[in-house]
Amino acid sequence: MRCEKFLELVEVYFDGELDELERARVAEHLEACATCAGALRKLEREQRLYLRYECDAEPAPAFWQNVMARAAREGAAQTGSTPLRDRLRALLESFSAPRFSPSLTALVVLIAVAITALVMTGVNRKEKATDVNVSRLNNESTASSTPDALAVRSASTGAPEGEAVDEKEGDGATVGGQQSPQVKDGPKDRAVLVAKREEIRRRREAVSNHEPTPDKLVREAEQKYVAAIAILSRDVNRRRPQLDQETAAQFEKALAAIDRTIENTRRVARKHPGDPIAAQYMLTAYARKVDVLREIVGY
Amino acid sequence: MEVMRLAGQPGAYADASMNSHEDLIARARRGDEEAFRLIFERYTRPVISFIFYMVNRRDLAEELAQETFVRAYKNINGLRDEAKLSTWLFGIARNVAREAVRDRQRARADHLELEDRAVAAIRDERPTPVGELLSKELNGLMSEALLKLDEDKRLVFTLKVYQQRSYDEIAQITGFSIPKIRNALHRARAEMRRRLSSYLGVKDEM
Repeated sequence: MRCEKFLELVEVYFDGELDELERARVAEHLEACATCAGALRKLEREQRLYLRYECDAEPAPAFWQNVMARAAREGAAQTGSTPLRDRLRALLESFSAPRFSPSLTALVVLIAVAITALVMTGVNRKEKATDVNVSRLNNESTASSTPDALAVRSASTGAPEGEAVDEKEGDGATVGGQQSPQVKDGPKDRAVLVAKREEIRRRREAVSNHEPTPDKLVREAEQKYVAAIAILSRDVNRRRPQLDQETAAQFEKALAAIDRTIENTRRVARKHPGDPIAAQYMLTAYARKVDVLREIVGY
Repeated sequence: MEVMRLAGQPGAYADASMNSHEDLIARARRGDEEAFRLIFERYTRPVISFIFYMVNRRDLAEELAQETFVRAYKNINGLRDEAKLSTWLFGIARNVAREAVRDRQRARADHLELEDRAVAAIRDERPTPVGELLSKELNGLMSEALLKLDEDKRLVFTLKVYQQRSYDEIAQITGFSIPKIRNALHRARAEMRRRLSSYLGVKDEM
């Protein structure tokens, strides 16, 4: 029993991995125990045999020439025919004049295009629906002095702001007093008008309950980009220590420029939630950041 | 010569070799090929030998060793602790060898694998010191026994037996825990012992 325990340790003893105390204990036991001493001799004999299967590790004379040539060649292949600085400049230029470049980010671009298309479709549909509603409202009541643009914006927002405007419109006294000075109809007509507006409001609510609003789509797309950026940023942080200082500085500069653009476009998009152009610019900025992060990870 | 020149630089009076080593690494990080080669050249033979025991083909070992140094050159900025340069390099070599083994496993049928071993045995007709001559039979047996170890066991066995690495260093290179290393090494030795038993028996009688 005691010997079994030592037998386990003999191999570690042989590898020189025991601490001082244990080594002394095993050495003492080996003096007294023929079995364990035999096990140690066996290990030594095996080791000698293994080492006779040796490898001629002498490198070919051109070994290092080949290594450096390959390093230079693969380095060039990795960065493409253009130096990194030029690639970054191209990336930044393409960013300042938004367009998608056909690179390894083709998938991201496709996703961005798909999201943008979806958002634009949503915006157009909403705008059409709103136009119909507004013209109906105008025709049937002659009550609306609200500019179409305002109506479009409030409708396409589909958010509390739009609801608030509707609520006000739904309130006969407020509408008459504040927004529709031309309304001279009697109480009955006003009741009809209020009922119609209420119906439109309900219809809008029903639509907004079943279909995502353009603003919601934009926000979802934004969230997807933010999530992708978070994942890529983690990879970039892992990769960062491997980049030389100059390269790292170039990437930092590129990312800072994009962050500023994201911030600006985001502000505009928030201010004009239904504006498709603002949304497109913002999403393009996010896509560009994904682009640059992927460049860093792949560099 | 390089070391001498660097040792003469200001501030390099106390530990000239250490300072030059750091300086060399700093230069290598900036893409200085000469500095890189000065640092890594001494590892050429150990890396070739390590990969040879992993893939069992001398020509492939040389090619993969080149690949190892190319990757090291490209990723020199990934070397965090300069004191662990050797284990870092062997970590790369391990990955390169592993990829090659897996590629070969995917790409080749068993009979071709056997052909490889036959070719390897023939290729092994290199000058060997007198008295160290290993019979071709044992050579083939050793090669086969090593190849039959699974990847983890072969890795740990090679690092311990042929590279004389400590458990700690093996842990750094492989990412395995010390208990796993001890276990894999014990099992690898047991397997090797079983496969070479006839030869070890003959040797016992001598």
